Amino acid sequence: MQPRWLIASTCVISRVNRVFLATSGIFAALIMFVILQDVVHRYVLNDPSSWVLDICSFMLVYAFFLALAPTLEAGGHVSVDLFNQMLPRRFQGGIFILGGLLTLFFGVVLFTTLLSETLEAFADDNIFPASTIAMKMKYIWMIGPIGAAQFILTTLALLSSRLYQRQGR
Amino acid sequence: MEAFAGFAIFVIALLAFLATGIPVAVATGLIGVIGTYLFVSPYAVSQIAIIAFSTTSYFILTVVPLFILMGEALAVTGIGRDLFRAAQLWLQRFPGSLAVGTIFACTGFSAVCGSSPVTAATIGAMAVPEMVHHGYDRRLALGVTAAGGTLGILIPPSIAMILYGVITETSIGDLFIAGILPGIMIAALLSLTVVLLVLARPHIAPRQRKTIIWPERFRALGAVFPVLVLSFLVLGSIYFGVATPTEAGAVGAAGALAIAAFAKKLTPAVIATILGNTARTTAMFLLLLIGGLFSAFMLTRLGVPQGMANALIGLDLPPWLIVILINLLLMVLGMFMDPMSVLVIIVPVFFPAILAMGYDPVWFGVLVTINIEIAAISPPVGFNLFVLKSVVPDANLSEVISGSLLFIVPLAAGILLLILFPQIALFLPGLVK
Repeated sequence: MQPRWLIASTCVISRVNRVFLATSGIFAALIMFVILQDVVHRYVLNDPSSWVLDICSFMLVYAFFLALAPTLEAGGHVSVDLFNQMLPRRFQGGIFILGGLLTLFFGVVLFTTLLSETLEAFADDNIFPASTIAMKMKYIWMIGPIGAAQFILTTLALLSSRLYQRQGR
Repeated sequence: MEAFAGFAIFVIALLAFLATGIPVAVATGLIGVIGTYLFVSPYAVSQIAIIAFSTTSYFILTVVPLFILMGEALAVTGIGRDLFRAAQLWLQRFPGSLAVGTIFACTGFSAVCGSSPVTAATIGAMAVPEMVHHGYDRRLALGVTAAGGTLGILIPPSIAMILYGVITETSIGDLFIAGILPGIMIAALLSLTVVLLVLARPHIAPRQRKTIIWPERFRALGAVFPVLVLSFLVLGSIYFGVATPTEAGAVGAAGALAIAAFAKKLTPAVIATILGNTARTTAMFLLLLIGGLFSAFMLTRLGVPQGMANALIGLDLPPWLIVILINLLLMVLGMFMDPMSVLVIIVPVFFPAILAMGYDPVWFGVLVTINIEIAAISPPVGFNLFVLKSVVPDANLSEVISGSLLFIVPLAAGILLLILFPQIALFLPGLVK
């Protein structure tokens, strides 16, 4: 039986993931609409928009980092479960936990490096070089550590649920 | 030899990490982190963040969610069913007409969808039950659909080619154009395999006796007309240089959504599913790319790809034999990894050798793509095998595997033909230039 705090926090993490996924999907749709309007402006009205390239790149950064954790939660990042299945059943749970810890380690490395880059962007307060719109880097990069932090929390939620499942048996 | 040892250690470490069930992207990323920390510099680990930011803000990659969105939107329209019906009616006289029709339907769907599992799932969900209903051998029905689904990553637009283009800095437009003729060739080889199989063992695909009138055929063609127009718009605009792949992707995605709306399939729940799937697949794809690029960064800093290139060229072997050996390695790895992972792991290592031997990067891209098509149907971890098992409820995995194995032969024959006649891939890009 999982403790209440774990159920509640897992529930919150899942909800955040749903919001993140929906927002990421909206960004994907926005990329389509922005490029579509540029196609119309460029080929029909002969008036291309110079900002499209930059704005779509920024939206892709948001779309990716927001969907990072929900994809992990849904098992959407491709993995190979063949080797795990070949192991005796009693080892499979242990291997899953090892895998969870490795994913956690990766998430922590990703988070700390992204955070360091983002803090640097905040300190420098620079705008993107060679960009047609004066967008400050910090406003785009800041989604990186947020997405990575959610990735860590999702890994922790999956891992602790599994640990309690094992204890329950 | 050091380079080979380095590569061998990399593959062993990768397999060890994969054995824990972690995502492939996490495994390649971790190897990059550990390798960089131990052998390059602890400070260089921060490169993973730089790669993550630069990859996700790379404008070319906005094409990824667009083509995924296009495929996801079309998958809900029922166009797969219409394509299958049209192909079935037009090819009725062929031996194994339903199976050949399945390949043609996959070919048509591949022209608007860049994903192999989505193609296999969309066509397979109705083609397999239909074939089984008409007395087709279950293994043939499942095998032909799994193999036909692989066309999704060869016939443009192709997610695998975008990945290859980004890793090797090869023009994605050229890759798309180069994939057209090999895609048609592979579809023809798969169809030929079906016809020969059915001629040898007629009981596996009973001939259809129903008389079909011509107006019925044209009506069926009318149902797939919007998709034909959409694929022509997307591929034609890239081919004739009217639009960039990104612009074509946006028009394609909007067109697909319009077709879905016209077919009255776009409920709020369906839109949420389409956008959710698009976001998830995009994240999966980009994380795979980031992990692959970071491990490639580490290998490059250690001189592994360059060392491999020098060692391979130094071998007293003709270049074509080296290409075949690389292909064999791809096939073996494809048995244990999904197609995209094979691509991000192998291409950065062998690409310098391919360039050094004077081969065309576009040609190699098509070759690698056909090879990872084999990976998609190679047991034990062929993606399409599992996709089919999940969309055809009563299918069992051993039937899917035994049915698919035979179709590795035409795909391998396609690779050989492409090695012998590179112009199959290079003819159309050459025309455009």
